[in-house]
Amino acid sequence: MKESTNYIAWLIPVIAGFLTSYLITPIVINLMEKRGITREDVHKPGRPQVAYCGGIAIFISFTISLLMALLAHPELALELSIIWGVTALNFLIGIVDDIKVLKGEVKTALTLIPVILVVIATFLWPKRIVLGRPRAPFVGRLRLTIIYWLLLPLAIAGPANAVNMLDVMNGIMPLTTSIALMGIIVSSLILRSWLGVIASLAMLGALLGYYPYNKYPARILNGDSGSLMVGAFLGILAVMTRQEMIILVSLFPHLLNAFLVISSIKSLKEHREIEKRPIEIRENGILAANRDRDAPLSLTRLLLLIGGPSSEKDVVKAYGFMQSVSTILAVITGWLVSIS
Amino acid sequence: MNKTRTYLASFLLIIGLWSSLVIILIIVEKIILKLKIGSAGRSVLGMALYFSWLLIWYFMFRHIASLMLTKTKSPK
Repeated sequence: MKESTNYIAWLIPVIAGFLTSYLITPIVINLMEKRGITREDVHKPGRPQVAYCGGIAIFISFTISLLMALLAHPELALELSIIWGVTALNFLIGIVDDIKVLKGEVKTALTLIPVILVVIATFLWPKRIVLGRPRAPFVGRLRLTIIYWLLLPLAIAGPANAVNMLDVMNGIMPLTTSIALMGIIVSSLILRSWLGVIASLAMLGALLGYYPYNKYPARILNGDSGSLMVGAFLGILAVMTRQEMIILVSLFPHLLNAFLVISSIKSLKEHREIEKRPIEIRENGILAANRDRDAPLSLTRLLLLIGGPSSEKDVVKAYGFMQSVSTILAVITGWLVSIS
Repeated sequence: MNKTRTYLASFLLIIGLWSSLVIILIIVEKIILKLKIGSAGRSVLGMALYFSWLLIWYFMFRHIASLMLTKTKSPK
């Protein structure tokens, strides 16, 4: 593949994504409020209604950003189109869920479908779309052959649902995924994966422009259209750039939370369907761990058990710290992979 | 929130997860997959080790949560 080392051209998608997202999100907020598409912000006193489906703004901005990247790097058209396709399919699943509220199991099953696009592309362009045998530190390429193909559907559905499950407070999703993307950009540079750099910059721009509206106190909530889409994007990015191990490490907080929730409730229930909540909200908006031993174990509950009751803002900061540690480790993983 | 305690615990958790994952990968790739047993046997052994890694972490988290529930007072 031709090397895309036109550094100035790398800035085009990130600037385009940032500006579009920053300008378009207030329009989406107004539109959603006018149409009554709002949800309760459950962690605030009085539970105010906040505009929903922020994923629409992220998706439009990401698409424009990726189109810019495509114009600047036509040699990556096929790979960028596949990344966009998988992301778009997950956005559609998210939008349906935002409007109709699907059951947890149904939503998870639907997110397994978009991987078909990657499999078809592998068969149509076997020389360009090469999958399998992920790289790991100290051991080089893992000897995962048949198992890799069996796990492939989870490579996209896993991050999609994990990011969705951690999207529980204002700003967590764009904050943690933006930090993760910064690490992925650095490790892509170390591994000379220009596709990784360009696609990550495109999504990073969209998320950075959107973040001011979603951070505490949020003016818009992401909805599943936002979180499923961004998670799926990270999954397809891992597969397409063969950075599975690096992105797995950068998503540690999300995967850890998903693992804790699923293993403690022993099913794929939606958070609305869970009877006992992992955390409690006091009248002054302070969050505390649910002290009921049968309550589900989530990462937020664990953090609140360790650190004690806290404001939503401080919990988000703790997640930002945790994500930063994971991102640094992801970059170290990328460096170790490059020398293994 | 006791920030020092929360940040230190988060740091140790993530570092612990990462280092144990790297160790498991090395054990599986350098030892298990070189054993002179059938391919299926090596795969089962490797998968069992990954699964055990997950299980150990799960019980560790449960233990931490249970410990914190016992040691800390109920919030007023």
